[in-house]
Formats: sequence, C-alpha cells, structure tokens
Amino acid sequence: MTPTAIDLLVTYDIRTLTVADDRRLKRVAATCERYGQRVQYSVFECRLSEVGLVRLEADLLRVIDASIDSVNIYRLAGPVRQHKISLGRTTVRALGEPWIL
Amino acid sequence: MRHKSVLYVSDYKARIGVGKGNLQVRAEGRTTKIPVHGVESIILLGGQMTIESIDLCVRSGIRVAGIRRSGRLRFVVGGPIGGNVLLRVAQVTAAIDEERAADIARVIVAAKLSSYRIQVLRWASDASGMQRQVLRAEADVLAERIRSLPGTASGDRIRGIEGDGTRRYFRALGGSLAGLGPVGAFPVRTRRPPRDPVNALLSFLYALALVEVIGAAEAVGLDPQVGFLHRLRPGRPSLALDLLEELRPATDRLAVRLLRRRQIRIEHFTRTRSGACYLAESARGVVLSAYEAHKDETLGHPLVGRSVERWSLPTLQATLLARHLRGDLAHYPPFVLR
Repeated sequence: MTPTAIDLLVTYDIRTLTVADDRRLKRVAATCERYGQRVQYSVFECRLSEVGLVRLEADLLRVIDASIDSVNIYRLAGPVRQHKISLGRTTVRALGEPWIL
Repeated sequence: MRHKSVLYVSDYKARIGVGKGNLQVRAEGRTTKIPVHGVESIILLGGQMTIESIDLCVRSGIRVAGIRRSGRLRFVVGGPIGGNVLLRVAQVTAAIDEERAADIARVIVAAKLSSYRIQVLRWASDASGMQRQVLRAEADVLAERIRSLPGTASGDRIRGIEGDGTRRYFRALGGSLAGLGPVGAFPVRTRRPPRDPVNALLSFLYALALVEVIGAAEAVGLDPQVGFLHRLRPGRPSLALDLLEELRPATDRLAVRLLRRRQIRIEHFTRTRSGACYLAESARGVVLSAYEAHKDETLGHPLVGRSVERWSLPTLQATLLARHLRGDLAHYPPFVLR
C-alpha cells in the first residue's frame, strides 16, 4: 500500500576547471540536497521510494554533462545504519529520524 | 520502512525558508538543509515560515500543521488530497443517515473500549490485592459496556457509552501512575487547558496523532470534517476525531512509558498563573523523538490479519473506512490494541 523505502548513496565527481564546471557542481549538489543529506564532500545518503529514485536520476541527468561528469548511485540492501561503519566524526542526523529544530 | 520523515520546529526564533529550491531552517545561528523530497510533513510549535517555503511545501505535497503548546491544533494546510467525488458523496450520505452513522460509530467505540479493557487487564495483572480486584472489575464493566452497544439506537447513547468507558479507563490509568509521585497525579482528564502533567502530555501527543489522521483522511479522499461518531460542527474535524479514537490507547501507552521510565519528569512541565500545565520547551525534543520512534513500532492488527507499523495505521484505517463507504467492505474493520 505505501511505497517501500530504499536507502541509497549518491556519489559524484564533477570536473572543476571552468566557471561552467563550478555551476554544474553547484547544481548537482543542490539536486542531491533536495533528495537526501550530505555525509561527506561529494557523498549523499538518501532514503527514497522507487518513484523518488527515478526522479532523482532524471534530475541529475538534467544537470550533469554526461561526457565529463560521473555520478554513481549505490542501492543498499537494507537500512543504511545496518550497513554502515562510521569512523571519526559522524553526521548529525541518521536517515529516517525526524528533524527537531 | 517509511521513506519520508517529519520536520518539527519548536524554536520560536527559527525561520523556515527556501534556498536553491530546497527547504532550509535557520535556527540557533545554524542553517539546516532539509531535503524537500524527504519531508512528509512539517509540525510547527513555534517559528516562522516564509511565503516561498509555504509555497514549496504546498507544491511538493508537504503538509504543514501548527500546534499550540496546549495541544490544540492551530491549522493544517497542504498535503496530498486524493480520492474522488463519488467517495465524498458516499461519505456524506452515510454520515447524515442516522443508522449508517450509528453502525460505524458503534464499531469505533467497541474497538476503543476493547483496547481500553485490554490495557486495564494489563494494569490489573501488574497490580496486587485490592487494586487488582478493582481493575478486574472495571475491565468487566468495560466488557459489559461493549456488549451493550449493539442494542443502542441513537448516536447519543453510543457517545454516552463511550464517555462512560473512557472515564473508567482514565480512572484506572490514574491508579496505574500513582507510584510516580506528583508527575503522575491524574485525577481526571482535563483539556483546554490541561491542568496537570499527565494531561499536558496526553494533549500534546493526541495533537500530533490528530495531524497524522487528518493527513491520512485527506490523502485517501475523505473529508476530515464529516464524521460518524463525533457530531458534525463547523470547523470541527469530526471524522479525524473518529479515526483518532483507535489510536488513543497506543498513544496513552507511549505517555505512560515516558513517565514510568522517567524520561519525562515533573521538571519538564511549566505551569501558568491560571493553573494550566504545559510541556516545557526543553522537554519537547525528548517527547518528539520518542513519538517518532514509537511510530516505527510493530502492532498486531487482528481484524486485518497481519502486523502493521504504527506510522502506517492512520492511512490503513482511512483506506479501510473509504472502502467500506464505497461498498467494497461490508463492515469497517477497526484497530484494536492488544
């Protein structure tokens, strides 16, 4: 009845040699920020439905230059916290938790 | 597992805005970016929202609700609205038909009192001696009240039985909190405003659950104001209050757990000069985290034949009610808490 959730990692490598490159990098980051949360410089954790994943892919394709940039979306086998080992400083909020501000 | 989370804003200095097409909250000198596609709803206990952020929420199907510290709902805006006109007509038709409304009302009250009876029996088995006997007797009265429902002819009679059963249950609840000292003092249910910590906590939690239920009703295509048990009054979310009845026992259980485990204590409440009691701002974080965590709990749903996670219950029950109103289900299968 309700769509199942998938946990994903989105990672990217955007070339930053030109001003146009900078703009693309900002757009990729902004796109990822609409779907999930940044855990490291170019790594985002997202929890999406299947439809959400399709939309994320479409939005990313719109902003990257497929001939230069590289984006990888890793689909995790279950909730990220079961598959993640955090060393050092950890992100503030875990996926699935509420935001309380 | 649900794929969206709730944003609670409690800090009165917080400001929700939009940055690069995404939600962001500025609070305590920091800006937190909130993924717009990852938000199910925004619950405002304080703070401000810019027009751009309200617009983004409405366009993105994010429900925004405002709750007063007393637990009164201020407003609910936005959020997905589903269903079709035929379902709405079926809902109104059933609500203004005394017999059909009473049929649904009886089911709701039976389920609520059944859940209450099971909780009272639990408290009885934890108690001893006189207290245990008193609680067992109350459970028997509740069973008798449930049995008297099929014989009722009018909505007023059904509401009377519901009120009586609820008063008995709350007396038993007060008894089970007696060992907690002043924080657990619960002589009677008071609201508008709540007059003691237990009431303040219950009102707060009920308000959160009411927002869920209003959202679920709208998403399924039901009008939250057209109810069957609660009388129809302008501006009153009667259907949402009807659906909320089945969630109250689980919500009470959460409140009891927070108090018994001393996660919520007397210092977490403030009192106004007029005698009203509210959850202090400092305590909201604890309560909200616990509330969200309890939404992930799995509950048995005997009438549906499988277990469900608490967060999915409002949508499930709203869907079942819609199917009953459309004629797909002969009877509405309510949720009973075991």
